[in-house]
Amino acid sequence: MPISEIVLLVTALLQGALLVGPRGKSSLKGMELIAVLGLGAAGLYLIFTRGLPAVMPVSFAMLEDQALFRFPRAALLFAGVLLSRVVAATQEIPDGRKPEVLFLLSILAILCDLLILSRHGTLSMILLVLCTWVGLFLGGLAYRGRREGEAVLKFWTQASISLTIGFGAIVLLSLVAGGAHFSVIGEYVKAQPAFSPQALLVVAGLLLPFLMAAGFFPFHFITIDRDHGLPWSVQTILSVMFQGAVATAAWKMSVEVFGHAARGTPAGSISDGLRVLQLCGLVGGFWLALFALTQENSKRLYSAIVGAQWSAILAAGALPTLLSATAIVYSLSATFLWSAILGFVWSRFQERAGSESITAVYGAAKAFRTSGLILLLALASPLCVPGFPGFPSLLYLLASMIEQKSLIFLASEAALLSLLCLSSIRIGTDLLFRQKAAETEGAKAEPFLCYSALDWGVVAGLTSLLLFSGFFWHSALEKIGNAASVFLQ
Amino acid sequence: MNILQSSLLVYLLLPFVAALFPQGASAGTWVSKGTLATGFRVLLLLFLGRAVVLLSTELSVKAVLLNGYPLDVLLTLDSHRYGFLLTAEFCFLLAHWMAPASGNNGGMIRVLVSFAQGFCSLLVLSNNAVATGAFLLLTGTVFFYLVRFSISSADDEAGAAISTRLHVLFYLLGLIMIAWGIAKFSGTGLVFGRNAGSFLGLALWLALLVLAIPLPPWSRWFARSMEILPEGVSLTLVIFLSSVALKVTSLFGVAYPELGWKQKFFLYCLGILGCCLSLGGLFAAETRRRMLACVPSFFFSIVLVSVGVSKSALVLSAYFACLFIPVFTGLILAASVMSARSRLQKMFLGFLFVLVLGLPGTPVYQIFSGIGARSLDLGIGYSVVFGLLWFFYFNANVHMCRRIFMDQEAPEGGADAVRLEGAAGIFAGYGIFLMVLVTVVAQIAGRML
Amino acid sequence: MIGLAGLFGTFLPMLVTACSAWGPVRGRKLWTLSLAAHLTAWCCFALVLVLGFFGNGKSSAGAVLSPMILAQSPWSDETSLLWTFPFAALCLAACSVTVSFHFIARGVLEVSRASVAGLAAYLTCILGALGSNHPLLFSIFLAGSLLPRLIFMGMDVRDGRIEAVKETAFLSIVALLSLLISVLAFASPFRDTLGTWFMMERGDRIVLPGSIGISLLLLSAAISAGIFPFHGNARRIFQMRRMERAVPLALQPIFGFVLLFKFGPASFPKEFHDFSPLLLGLFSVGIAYSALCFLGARSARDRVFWLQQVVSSFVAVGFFSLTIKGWHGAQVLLFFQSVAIPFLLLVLACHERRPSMLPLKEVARYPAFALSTALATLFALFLPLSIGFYGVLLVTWSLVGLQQWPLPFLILSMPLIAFAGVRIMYFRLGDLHPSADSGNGGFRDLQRDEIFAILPIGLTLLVLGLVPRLLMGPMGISVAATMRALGFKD
Repeated sequence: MPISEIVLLVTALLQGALLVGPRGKSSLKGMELIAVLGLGAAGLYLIFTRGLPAVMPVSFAMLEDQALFRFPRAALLFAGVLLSRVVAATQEIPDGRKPEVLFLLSILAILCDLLILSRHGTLSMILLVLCTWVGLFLGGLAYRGRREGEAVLKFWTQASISLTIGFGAIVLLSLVAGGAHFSVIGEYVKAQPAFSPQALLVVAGLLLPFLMAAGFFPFHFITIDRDHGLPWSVQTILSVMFQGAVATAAWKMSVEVFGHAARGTPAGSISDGLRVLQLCGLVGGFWLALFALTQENSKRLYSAIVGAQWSAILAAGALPTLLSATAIVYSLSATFLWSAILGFVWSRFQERAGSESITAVYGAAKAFRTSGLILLLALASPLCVPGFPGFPSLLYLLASMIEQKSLIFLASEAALLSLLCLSSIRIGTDLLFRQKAAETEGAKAEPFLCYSALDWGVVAGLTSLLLFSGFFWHSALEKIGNAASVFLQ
Repeated sequence: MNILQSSLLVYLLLPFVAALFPQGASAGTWVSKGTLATGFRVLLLLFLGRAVVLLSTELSVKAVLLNGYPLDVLLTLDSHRYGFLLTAEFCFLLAHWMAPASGNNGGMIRVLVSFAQGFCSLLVLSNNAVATGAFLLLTGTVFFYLVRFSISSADDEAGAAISTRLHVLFYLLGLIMIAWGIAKFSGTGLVFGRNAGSFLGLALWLALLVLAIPLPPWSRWFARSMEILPEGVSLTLVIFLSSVALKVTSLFGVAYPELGWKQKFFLYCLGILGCCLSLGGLFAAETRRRMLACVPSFFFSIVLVSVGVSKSALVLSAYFACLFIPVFTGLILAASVMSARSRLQKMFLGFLFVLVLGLPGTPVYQIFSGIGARSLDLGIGYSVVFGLLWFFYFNANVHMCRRIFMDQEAPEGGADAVRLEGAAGIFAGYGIFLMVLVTVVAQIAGRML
Repeated sequence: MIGLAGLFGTFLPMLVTACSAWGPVRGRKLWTLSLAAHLTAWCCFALVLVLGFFGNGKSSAGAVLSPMILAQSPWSDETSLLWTFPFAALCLAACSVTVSFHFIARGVLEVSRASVAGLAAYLTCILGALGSNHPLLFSIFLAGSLLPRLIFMGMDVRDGRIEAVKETAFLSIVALLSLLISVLAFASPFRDTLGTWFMMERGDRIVLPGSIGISLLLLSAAISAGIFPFHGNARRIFQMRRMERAVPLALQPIFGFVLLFKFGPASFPKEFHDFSPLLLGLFSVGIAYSALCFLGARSARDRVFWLQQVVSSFVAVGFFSLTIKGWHGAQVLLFFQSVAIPFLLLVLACHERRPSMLPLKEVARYPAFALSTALATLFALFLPLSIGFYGVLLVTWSLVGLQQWPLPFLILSMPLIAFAGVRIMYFRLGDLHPSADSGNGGFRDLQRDEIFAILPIGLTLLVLGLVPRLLMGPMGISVAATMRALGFKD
């Protein structure tokens, strides 16, 4: 078991102990502190112990701690730290339910981490289902009325279908390929002609559960519809942590299973599995990006742009070269961070305005200057602006698309990235430059949106990390590249 | 640079430098920085006259604007241009005296008259197409503001129209001049000279000539400007238009000494049409000022006629016309505000009548004699037309004299008529001097050129 | 040493950005600090110009090189900032404009730290773009200008025009991504690693890659420069409530044209040769179109905008003539545009601050105001006392004997400009006929700050117009050397 998992487990255990004990403000504070420290420690461990060799393999070689994926995992955990602060501050969840939510957050962090580490199909399916059920419980805990109930119901439906399809696929794959381990499936795929029925079966069987669980194309409408009914804190957890982890895991799995097949073909050609993933990313990304442009409901908008961002990254990772792997991992890591920061600030604005419409928070970034600055930094991150991760991300993503030597996909990806930038610009412009809404005027009486010292500390840390990785991008990408070369071997 | 070239340079820069000095509060109509500068310029011209006229040398001043390109400012003074400049300076002196001195804009008007004076001499002396075009472009702006500042509130609309037309006209002239220079003289560094002809160059030059001459069919603004502008401003405008006409016609001699008969005939017809319309306007004019405004138009049209009947490179009649028009305009503007009470004023009007009538020895005589001689050479048609032209001109003179001497209507001046009427005696004396001057200059020019 | 001065001058304004964002300095002190930094940057580039091109043994055909600032394998080798004379002059022009802006917008800068930060960052990006000698480095600076520009525009946009800000930003992103693709696919050294990608050959001609690369480059340049057909992008700056903020943003076309001049023919020599007649025609029509719109413009802001388009189109025509004379004229006009258009905006801003109209006949009582408007007339009409005249002359002349058919469009434009210029000649640029009975009660002459903002730039342009060889001489030598190095002849 990787050390980070041990830390996370300890975190969860401590939180569980507090849950069982007497409830009160102190226990809630304790839960918050444990979440921050535990997730943060795990993340820091992953960052600063990169060079340590992979820990002992677990049973059945189901998990492997690869240096390359420590970056997105660390980013995932740091995002979790920040999102725990969202849970702590939200008013959409009753105080009595917050400890459970924090506990489930830690559980979700563990599951997501394991999902990324997983190298076995069955384990991946189990983890996906568990994550979905955790999400379901998170939604249920936030139950206040009919709308939350509908969301939970949709979640339950999704989880059930995922379970059925996922396990069915794994069984079928095991029969066909002779095993559920990625390496076994990979060997089987290598022997099949491209886009043959067997190959397509493997593609469908492996990818469908991931796509369904996280709400990627062709199931993109599920999350939009579902997240609308959830509280901001839960929605951000699912959009950032869960969806991001699934995207990372899906890409990792695709490279491990289908990447060998691509390398066996003439240079520049893409294997079928990765091509399918790319197409899902492109189509889903376009759908979500265009949806986001016309959306005025903030939750839907947030889900859409974050989902589109994950999709755009998946669309660029079809050719597993060194450049591409570096680009994907860097982009995934950065997206974890900026989407968490964005959710952190935006959710506060909306809650204080008491409305879900973005029109209610027009000019809020101007009214609350510090929060506005943080929001601006978060929104600038996906943009192609030097000093932020967006510039090297786009540079490397475009380069990896160029490596694929396809004009159509290059143009599509560039268009998709442009639309995503437009969405960020739109939100930033509306929140920063528009005339202040009446709701914002009313909320102005409360100073500083009630950030605590811990909030400030966490936000400052994550923002600094984001800017650091953006400013010194060459060093960061160099380190990722070294790890990627090991992974691709 | 020797003393002559330095003097020429000082002569050229003086109006612009004088404009930088603030006008003192005590400066009046007669002594101002503009009149002082003009007086000094006259002295410099007289100083240069010995070398240019008597010794027939050419003085040149050159300023290199940009290395590697033929964009130099090349200014040359020869006897041909000297005569015009000397006459023009005295006319500008009259214009300074006539220009409004009082009011908020008096100072601005005088400054702009100085600028126009400076650009006039630069234009006449320039030998390079781009420099000539540049001066025309700049002058358009000067006249735009000059008209706008000098017009009274009652004539705002008319003044706006005139100023716009002036600006656009000079802008177009400048552009055409530059385009013509590039089309025709790019092989010789844009310096005016005899060059192989091209249809485009010829067309541009014809357009230049036609636009430069304010012909009645499309230059009603000119007559209107003579009516409503102050006398000093009108005179400045006429002097400048004369210099433009002189420039373009002298370029004819340089660039197209063997112009085809079709082009000449076209110019001739245009000129005759202009003459007829001018004379018709003169007869139909309701006011004395409007009547007198038609006469400069007539002489401008004569410039085209003289080009149309010309034989050699030097178009003497056109030269005399350009020499005469500014003087004549100044004289008639002064005459228009006189009541002819004193003996001096009566002498002045008498001499004016003699001058205008074209008695032998006068510039008008030289103009008509030149055209007449060529018309006779060209055949019966030209002769008949010339005869009719002269006849109607004579009748027009009679009509003018009757209106001036015999009609009871009060003198009708421009914006500053009251002030000018008060100084009518001085203007009368100066007018006599101008008449003598232009006659002498024309005689000398006729012998030298 | 000189290169170090240039490097220092380029990045010094970023210190102001940092101070305004995080430092304790505020209000008047911050304004003073910012002004000092911009003035120092100006001095650095003056030093680069004087010592780098006119010092002992120096030639205007040379260049000034800074120490290495970027080495990003595999995107670029060691890159530095490199200034030839025209671009060093443009750096000086940009610094002058921002210094002037400090005076005209003192009130704004003292209360808005975001504006100070945005201005400084924007200037750094412009200076960096002017000095970059690799497309990737240029892309970084172009990308860096996005946020400051967005903040500058968004903070003072007119009601209901917020969508315009978004459109501008989006188009800038599109331009940037196009440029990045062009850089990645067609610029060394990354291009060399791609092998034979995009090499679709037809006979002995490679038809695909150059066309795509040049198209992307031109798209990026056209959007960045705000030139036809993306002139709407440039129009956004005229949507602001107060025109002062438009002054530094008027430098935006520098990005597009610098991209063309520095990296266009060097990257795609053959394609530029093939495409230039078509683009020459396009921009010739653009000149005539812009001149017509200039004539028909109803407000002073529109007039200045269309005048900017006329100048930009002339620059484009000069560039696509691919002759030494044309490039010389284009570079001159680019410098002219970078100074004259901000000057006109400064004058316009002063006009808009005054509530009452000034009758023309009263102008002698307000000499500073009169001088500023007279200078505006001079520059707007391309009259010979401004270097714009020489630029237009050279560009038009470059077409004679080469590609004569665009000439009628250029020639037709000039009378239109003459007609349209009449409206600029009237005081209070927005009114053609100031009403006779409108008093000038409350009208005041230019204040000290306004004088400091307007007159240095105006008089500099006037001096350069009177003695054009000060600027145009070395510029011509440098341009000739550059063109010959690229293999183009006059």
